[in-house]
Amino acid sequence: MSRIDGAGGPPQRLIQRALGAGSDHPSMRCPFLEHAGHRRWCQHCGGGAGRVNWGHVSVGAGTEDEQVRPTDWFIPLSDPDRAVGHVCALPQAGGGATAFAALADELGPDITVWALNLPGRQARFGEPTRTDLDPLLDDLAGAFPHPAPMLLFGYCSGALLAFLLAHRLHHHGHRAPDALMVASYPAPDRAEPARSTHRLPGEQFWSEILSYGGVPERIAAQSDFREIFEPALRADYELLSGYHHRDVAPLPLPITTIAGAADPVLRTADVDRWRAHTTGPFRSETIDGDHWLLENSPRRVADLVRASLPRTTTAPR
Amino acid sequence: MNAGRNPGLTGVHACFARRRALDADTSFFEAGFTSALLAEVLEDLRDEGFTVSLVDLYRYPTVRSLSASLGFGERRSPAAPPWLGASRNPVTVLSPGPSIGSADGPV
Repeated sequence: MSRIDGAGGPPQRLIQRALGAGSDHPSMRCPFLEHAGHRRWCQHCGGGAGRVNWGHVSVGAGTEDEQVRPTDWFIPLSDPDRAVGHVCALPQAGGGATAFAALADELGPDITVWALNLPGRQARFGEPTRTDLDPLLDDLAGAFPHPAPMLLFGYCSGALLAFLLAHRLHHHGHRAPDALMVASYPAPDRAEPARSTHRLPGEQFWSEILSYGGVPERIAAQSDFREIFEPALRADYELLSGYHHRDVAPLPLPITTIAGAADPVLRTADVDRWRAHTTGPFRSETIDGDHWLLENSPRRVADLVRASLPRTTTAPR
Repeated sequence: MNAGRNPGLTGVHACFARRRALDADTSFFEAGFTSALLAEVLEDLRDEGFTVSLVDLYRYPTVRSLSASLGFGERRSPAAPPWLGASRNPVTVLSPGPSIGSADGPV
């Protein structure tokens, strides 16, 4: 399913400069430079242990003093220096970082949500979208935030992405998260990602998307909303359209599932099947609500995140 | 923010800030403005007389850049994370090294 809380769009006049990896700070201005102590965690500055691809996108193009603004794969939605716990959060199809704004409000300031910031929407509006799963997983693994303890959270189809990212991190020698939490999505071997939705013609595509109920009326009333959201939605559907589950070893980290009691499309057996994907503790939580738990029950989800976030970690930062 | 010297920017800023705290250089998306919230802001902006469409809020995702796009020009500075708060002076760079970004703001 999908909600349009991402914003994809045509490049327009925005100028995207894909500088690739290793743009050396301070030759480019880090967005968090003013933040006291930021070097300890800032990935731009290398303090967060991993260097990231630091794409640069110009915002407000078309005006004289064009501004170069760095973007990143994960946006901390509160001050990570003040946090004692961290959540790395992957949204539903079409979703942007603000999909987790309500959750971050509930969790802050002691827990920081690092929200996935995919191109083609919101803070990276105008950048080309990504539709190839493997290279994207490589990039996300390389940019994965390193603070601990870290809970990896996947919402809707972001749950499948989170599962694949956890495996990538675990098997490629990256620092893996301390726990995995998945909401509103079946286990990877029961998931049936849409195979051809991303190829539907405009009217059919939107009638499918709108049928999921994730588009606020105020948005649908705007004449330009399709232009804004369609590229990111199509890209995210295409990203998972070729996914077929392959047997892999269970993950050595705790998994917690969250399901809405009134979710019309989620089968309990498919949620419980997540149990097979961990060698660690497994918890299954059903809460009041439908499919859109982050939007309608952020406080309840936040409570479960707090309960699932490891208090301490033995792994080095 | 020096917003008081620029009534247009102040008016735009007010439409956002009454819903979530942000300063003129914070990206709407880093400040937690969802698409639904932006649609509400859009209605307010139009009520205030600004001619603006939803896609403008995505193309110009800070109060300052949006204001500039609406003709309320002002030199702009880089987007700042929301927790820096609105009370700080904009762009007081602590240790920037070479001031590469100086063209973008009143450094």
